[in-house]
Amino acid sequence: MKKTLSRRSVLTLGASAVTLMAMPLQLLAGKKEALEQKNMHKAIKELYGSTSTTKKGVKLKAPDIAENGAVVPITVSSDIKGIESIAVFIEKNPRPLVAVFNIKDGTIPKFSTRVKMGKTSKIVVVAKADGKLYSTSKEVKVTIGGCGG
Amino acid sequence: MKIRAKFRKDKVEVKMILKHPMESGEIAGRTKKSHYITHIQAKVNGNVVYDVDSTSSISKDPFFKFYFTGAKKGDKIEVKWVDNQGKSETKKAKIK
Repeated sequence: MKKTLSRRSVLTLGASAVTLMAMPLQLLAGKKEALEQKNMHKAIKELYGSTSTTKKGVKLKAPDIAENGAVVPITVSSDIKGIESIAVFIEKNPRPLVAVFNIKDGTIPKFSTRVKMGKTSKIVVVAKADGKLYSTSKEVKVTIGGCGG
Repeated sequence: MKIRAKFRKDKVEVKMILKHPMESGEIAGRTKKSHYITHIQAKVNGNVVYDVDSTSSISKDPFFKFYFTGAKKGDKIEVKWVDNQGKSETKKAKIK
């Protein structure tokens, strides 16, 4: 177990060094495509290049039932070290990607905002740290849709 | 834009409400031009402490709460947003 892990990290390091120069452009393009993407899994793939995530380290606070889909308060947080970004997706919205929180030096990975939900859907939070993806999700029931339904 | 930044123990808590329609352009039965904030950034002493790419799935008149370290009372926080129509707004607030 230990051996494979270290081998992987070495590989990632090498790969990231190679792609470092082309990265800013690529990252921007991936993000733009992810924002327009209508399928959640494709959006995650566009943004982070993979959809395999570990289900730990990320927390999502959202109501079980949202009376008004136009204003659903959510809080996302994480205790993963070296976290780079947290993305929030709502599976059944016309464009599932809600927001990408880019974590800089000094930013504490705990964010609250209010989102729109078209109908009852799963909210998925994906965090990226050290080349690995972590996620969590929660189903929120919506009684009145908020995407102009 | 309303910004409230408070220093608490070792970190700064910021709550802000931006005034924006956050129109997705997908109203059933009619089309409306989409108009929403695409990027929000907060800086303190020249350092970026908060950076978000947002979409029309954020509620109208967006509310955000976040925390950061590395600032003290009296420092100024500067928040800037940009929308998909190229409009932007910048506002400064003192950390209390």
